[in-house]
Amino acid sequence: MNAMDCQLEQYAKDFQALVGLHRDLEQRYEHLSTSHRQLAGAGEVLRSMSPHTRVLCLVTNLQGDIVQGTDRARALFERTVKKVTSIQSAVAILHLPRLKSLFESRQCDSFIAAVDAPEILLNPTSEVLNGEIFVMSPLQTVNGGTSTVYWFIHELGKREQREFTSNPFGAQSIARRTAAVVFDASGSILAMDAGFQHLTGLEEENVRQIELTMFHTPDPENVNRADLLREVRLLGQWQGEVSAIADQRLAYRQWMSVSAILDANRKVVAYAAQLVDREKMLMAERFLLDAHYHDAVTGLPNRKYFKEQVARRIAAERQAGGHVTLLSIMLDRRQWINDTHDTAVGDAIIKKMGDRLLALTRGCDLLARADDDQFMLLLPGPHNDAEIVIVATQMIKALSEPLTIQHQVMQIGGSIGCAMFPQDGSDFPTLTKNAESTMRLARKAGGNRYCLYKHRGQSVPAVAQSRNDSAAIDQCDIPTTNMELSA
Amino acid sequence: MIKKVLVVDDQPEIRHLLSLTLGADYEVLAASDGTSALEAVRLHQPHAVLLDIMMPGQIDGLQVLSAIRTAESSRHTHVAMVTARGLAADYRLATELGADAYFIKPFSPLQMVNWLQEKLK
Repeated sequence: MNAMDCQLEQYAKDFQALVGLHRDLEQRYEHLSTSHRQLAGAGEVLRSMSPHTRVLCLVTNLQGDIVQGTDRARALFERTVKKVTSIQSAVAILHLPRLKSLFESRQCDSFIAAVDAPEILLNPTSEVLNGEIFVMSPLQTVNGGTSTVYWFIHELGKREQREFTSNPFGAQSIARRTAAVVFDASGSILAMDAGFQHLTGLEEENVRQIELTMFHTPDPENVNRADLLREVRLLGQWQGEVSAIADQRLAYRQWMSVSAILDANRKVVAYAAQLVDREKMLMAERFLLDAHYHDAVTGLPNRKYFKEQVARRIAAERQAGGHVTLLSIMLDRRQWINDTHDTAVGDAIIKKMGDRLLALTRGCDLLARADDDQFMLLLPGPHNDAEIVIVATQMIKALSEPLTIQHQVMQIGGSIGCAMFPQDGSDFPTLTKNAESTMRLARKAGGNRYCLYKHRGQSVPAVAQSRNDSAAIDQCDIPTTNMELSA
Repeated sequence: MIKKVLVVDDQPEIRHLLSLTLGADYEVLAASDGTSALEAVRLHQPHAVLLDIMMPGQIDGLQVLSAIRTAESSRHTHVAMVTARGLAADYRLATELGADAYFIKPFSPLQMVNWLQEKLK
């Protein structure tokens, strides 16, 4: 093969490497986009389900004349220049025909008239309400032969506002994420929307039996049922976490806001309540916290979480006069693997190493992935060096065991630096700094060894490597063909 | 401003390959021997020079390097030696004369692009 052919072959090799790199980047991009989508979704769930602090509810007759409302809803309309006396004057012009047909179709012969009408846009062009978009969903009740419509008003979040502005006729799903219920002055149910039945999982005949006093908080000492009602009567509103009504088997957790609807004499005539699915909120919260505090590759806590926990632990031990030890664990050859293999191999190594370390920890220890190829371990209360040495030796042994990834046998190895509280550092930054500098000393001394901060300078190889071992593994050679000269 | 890179090699194929490799990011100038290389350095003042060691004619790559480092106008030009000779003596001499990098043929175009990007950013 002549020199030119060799050169072209080198071009082909570089091209292959670039293609691999591109594929790798694409995968990482895909992974990141998925995480980003999930996080955005969880954030959206939380935003859309944020508990209502006060229920916004206007009450009208079947002609649309506003007769009552919760204090908050009335305050909202009192801010407008023109006094709003009918629901029609509060609604966006483009929704007026829909409102008209809604009133015309009202039937007064059912106990619960669950309204399946889509939301109606509140006049968004009003100067006072500028920048806020509200939608209303109506709920009709028939009490003593009189039909009343309760208009539950939701303020839209930013994203919902965008969706609504681009398509104001599109069916929104706000009502499905929340539930609206109306109780009479004695606390018996008057009407509820489809979302309520969905949220509580109760049959229709059971729903009719529900009373406001049947809700209870998961924490019995917090508010008892009588208190809930008394507080609404006294203060006009109550909000908090409730679990499903009566039936403990259906212990869904919900966030309920209740507001009293008062007549002209400030006498309670009804209660308007809104519920959101607390379970779903908690799930979204947990998801966001997980992403915030955990490393996606190993599933271990990240440095942020570790720092918070260790700082807390140190504060506790300072009071109690106890000890903790911080181990900084660095993989010896992972950086080289990263440079010579694609990210998937690097990630697989980190995952396996994390698993091995985790298998050696006790329940009270805390292991975290602190950096790209660094783990940190918190050992509460070792009484002497010997205990730390046992752990460090075991860990180095575990890290130096060969592992097979993509049919390749590799040996990674690790270096550990140990610093103890309080003698080697009295706070997290000092302790970490000392553990890490000790770890770097151990690494400099050849790796695959541990070192205690107080004995720095005398790192101990935990596992003596035989020649046979090292023959089986990839050698960490620096490419010698092309080198950059030092200045 | 587009940076200028001078490619000095007696093989037209290598000059062509390097022009293709670097042409998208740099203005690539070419010279086929030491004399025309020095002329090009004087005339165009390139930001970097990729310099073959063994070339026909009276001046070889190491002499060109020496001349570049001596002249006031080109003293700080980045120079990489590109050679088929992986001799330790050449490498030492190039270092002493002030070469910034040393690529052995067949060189990796990726490494060369990375080196140029690093130096000319």
